[in-house]
Amino acid sequence: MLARRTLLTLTLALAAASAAWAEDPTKLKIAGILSAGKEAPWETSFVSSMDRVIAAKPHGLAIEANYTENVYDNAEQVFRTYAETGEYDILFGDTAYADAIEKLKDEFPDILFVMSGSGNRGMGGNAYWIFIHAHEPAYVMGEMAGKLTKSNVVGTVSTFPADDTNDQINAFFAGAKAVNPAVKQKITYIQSWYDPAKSNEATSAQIAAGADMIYQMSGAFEVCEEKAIGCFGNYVDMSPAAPKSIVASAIVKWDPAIDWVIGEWWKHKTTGAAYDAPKEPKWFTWAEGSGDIAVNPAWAAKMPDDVKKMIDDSTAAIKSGKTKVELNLNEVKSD
Amino acid sequence: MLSDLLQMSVLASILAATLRIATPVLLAALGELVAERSGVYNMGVEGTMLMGAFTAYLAADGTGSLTLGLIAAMLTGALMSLLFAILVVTLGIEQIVTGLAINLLGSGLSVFWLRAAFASDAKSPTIALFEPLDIPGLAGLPFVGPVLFQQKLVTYLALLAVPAVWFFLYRTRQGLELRCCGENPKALDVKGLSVAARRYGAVVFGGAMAGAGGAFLTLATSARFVPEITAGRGWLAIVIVIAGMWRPGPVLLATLAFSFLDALQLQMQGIGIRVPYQILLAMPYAVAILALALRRRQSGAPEQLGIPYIRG
Repeated sequence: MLARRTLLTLTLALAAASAAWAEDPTKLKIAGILSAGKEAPWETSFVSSMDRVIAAKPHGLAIEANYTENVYDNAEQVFRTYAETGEYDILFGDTAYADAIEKLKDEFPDILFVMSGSGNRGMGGNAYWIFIHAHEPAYVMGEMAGKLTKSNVVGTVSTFPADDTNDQINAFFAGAKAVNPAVKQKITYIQSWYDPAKSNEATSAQIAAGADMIYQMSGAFEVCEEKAIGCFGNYVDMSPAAPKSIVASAIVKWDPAIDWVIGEWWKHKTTGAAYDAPKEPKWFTWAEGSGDIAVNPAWAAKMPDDVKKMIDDSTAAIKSGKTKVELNLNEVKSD
Repeated sequence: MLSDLLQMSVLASILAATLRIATPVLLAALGELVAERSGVYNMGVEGTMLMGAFTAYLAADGTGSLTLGLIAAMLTGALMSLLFAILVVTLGIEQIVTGLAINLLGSGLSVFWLRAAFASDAKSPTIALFEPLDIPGLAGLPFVGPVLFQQKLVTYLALLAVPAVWFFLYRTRQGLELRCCGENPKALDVKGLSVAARRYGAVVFGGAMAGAGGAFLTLATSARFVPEITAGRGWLAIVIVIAGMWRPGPVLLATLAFSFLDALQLQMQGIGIRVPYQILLAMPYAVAILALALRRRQSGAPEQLGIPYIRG
């Protein structure tokens, strides 16, 4: 009995001592591996979220983030270069990097890899998969479009049909039809992630087809401004870029996702537990801080009171969980 | 559905869009046409356009003048091509490989310079765009007005460049000599006329035109520069020169045809006509390959295209 108790005490003492040796980390180095240039709205939202997280110092960490842009085509090499320096703890990719990560994850078991959005697959271990869904703010914007349209034709210009664009488009149209059943939906994919010239032509085409409220998801608002229609932006607040035409923007915040990833790394570092990423993509709701809606003050000023009230009520209902916005990833068709 | 597509306003929108989409490609293709007629394959159109788009944006942002932006783009394009000409005409380096290197240079340098110019903030400023320029008396015409006469300055310039290039190539002595450079440079050389000087001139002209095509993207459609904004238009220009059988008129037709397909698929999607629009997008390339395969003999390609001229 006594021997056993002594043993236990000894073990406890040893454990305490070893915990004291392994001091908690104070520094964290993250590499942000961006699919396009920083001025693409998707990347802008990622970088500014990272800035906020760094300023908030989670777990008291001094975080340093470095970025490589336009990586998409040679992801494996970029990931490998970062990994081989041995200095980076988290390699954070903001798009579909599953192929590159699959080749490297076992070779660098101490590094936490992140891939984002559609086109990835769950691998578990140290390969974390996050998803950004902005369908909730998009739904509220759809309600605004449905109320504000005069032609009852509401359009969306998007990049490619993909899970992380379809979620927003479906929600946008669902919102518009919920408040105005007469709405006809029009969708154009430009088949490019970033081609402002083509994107503007697609907007012109939708206007010719009768649309007067357009969700411009590919970041080009020159035609919106020229034709003085109502346009909606996404990822970041687009009203500074198009003050006349932007009605509102669905803002994406990566903050909860980044915090979660840092938390997983922290757990691994402080407890020594192996990384255990879920196989399913991890995503966060509007209530958890994954997004927001930014209404252009110039439009808010001339909106009827019932529309303004609707925006507030709907936002509150979605955040409190009273209204559930369906996450619909099916490819969208024009009416 | 189909009746929606055939409405006058929709048709006018498609045709007006066709001309806008055609502008940058047409400028670059005419430039490449002249370069290739002199016997030089410039595969660096994409990178040259990209640098043109970037410097146009930079100059317009710095000076507030769109005209200066356009001139800056043409100068940049000319400089890029001068570098190319030194490598392939004077040093006789393989043209295809050198062209690809020019693309890499344009791609890397434009992004590097963008970061250097607008360092830390991710948002580079937007510039004012060319306004549509209504042609007095014609812009008000029904249907034809909005399609042809409410375009932007650069579009008119691109369309006027077609007869200008044709006139130069087929109705001037210099044009004849330039074509001779591509067909039989030795004939020029024995007459004491410099092949190299003419090839330099043709390539530099081609670069300036590619630069102007790039400038259209930033000064007339997008108001900012984003990496890889040319999105393959330089490659399309090269394809169009082939499909247009190295002649200005057919090059214009090919450009319009491909741009029309693009405008049409955008409009069909917007209206909701269910066709696999990807097929329309792939058409230009398919047509160019077909044109090459079917007319290999009498394709109109200059005899000495891609072959450095070495005296002896």
